[in-house]
Amino acid sequence: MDVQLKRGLLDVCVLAAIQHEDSYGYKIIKDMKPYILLSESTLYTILKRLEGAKMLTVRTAEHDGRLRKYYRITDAGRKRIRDFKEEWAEMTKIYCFVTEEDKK
Amino acid sequence: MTKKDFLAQLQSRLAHLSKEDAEERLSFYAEMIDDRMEEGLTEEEAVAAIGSIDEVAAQETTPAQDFSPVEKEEKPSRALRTRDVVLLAVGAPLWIPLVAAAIVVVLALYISAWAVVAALWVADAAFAIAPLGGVICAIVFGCQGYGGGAAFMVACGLCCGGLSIFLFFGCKQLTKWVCLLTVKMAKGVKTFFKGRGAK
Repeated sequence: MDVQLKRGLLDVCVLAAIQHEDSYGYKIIKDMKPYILLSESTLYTILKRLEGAKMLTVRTAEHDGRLRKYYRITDAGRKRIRDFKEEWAEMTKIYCFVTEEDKK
Repeated sequence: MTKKDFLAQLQSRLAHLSKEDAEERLSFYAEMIDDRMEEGLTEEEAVAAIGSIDEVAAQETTPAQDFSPVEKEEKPSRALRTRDVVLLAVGAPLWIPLVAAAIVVVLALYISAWAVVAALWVADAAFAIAPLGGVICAIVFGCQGYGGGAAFMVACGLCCGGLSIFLFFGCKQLTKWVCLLTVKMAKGVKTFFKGRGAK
């Protein structure tokens, strides 16, 4: 798969994993596991990238006597998901066009 | 491998990163190991689930800040070429008067818009004080015994007062629109000169 496309998909997947409630690193990996296998280092890179783009915010909270980072989606992150849905509708049209061409 | 050993080895492999960046990554991995242990894995199992130190270190060779989330498009250079300069100079007798005329027309339209707004506010003020005039006239007519005339003047005054209320909201909205237009024009002019200055 094209690197840029894959990167964009992973970004949206991580955003989707935190769109309903704040989440933390390990839970994000677990939630995504049925769909995409994500390594810790990849997730870290994605989280940093999304934080840099102000699509999520990070807060540190105490959990069981230790600190854990929680990630919260921002309006920009939600917009990214909406944009992705719209873009994907266009991609689906193109896919249909390409596959129809194959059938001819 | 214990969590402590894993983090110590990873730290030595992250020497190329800034101290802050390396510490942030280490705490990220420490959290991941802790979360796995909390789920029931032993410390060794939790560390093993992260992957071998070589794999992790290999993936960590690129600092996160090297990634830019939004690929900024390089704007093509708009520097004037010699040909453009010559064309501008040759066409100056044509385009300078045209641009000047366009600026004058825009300014005239803009001033006219404010003139219309001012005229409407004056008209509204006139309508607003009309009831007072109506009452005064009615008193004069009443004193002279013209009851019908007095009633007519009061009615006229009330009509004008009513009109002034409607006109007030119209004037208010129109003033708002012209103010918005002013802001947009100011922003446009600012952007134009800012853009030119940046080149």
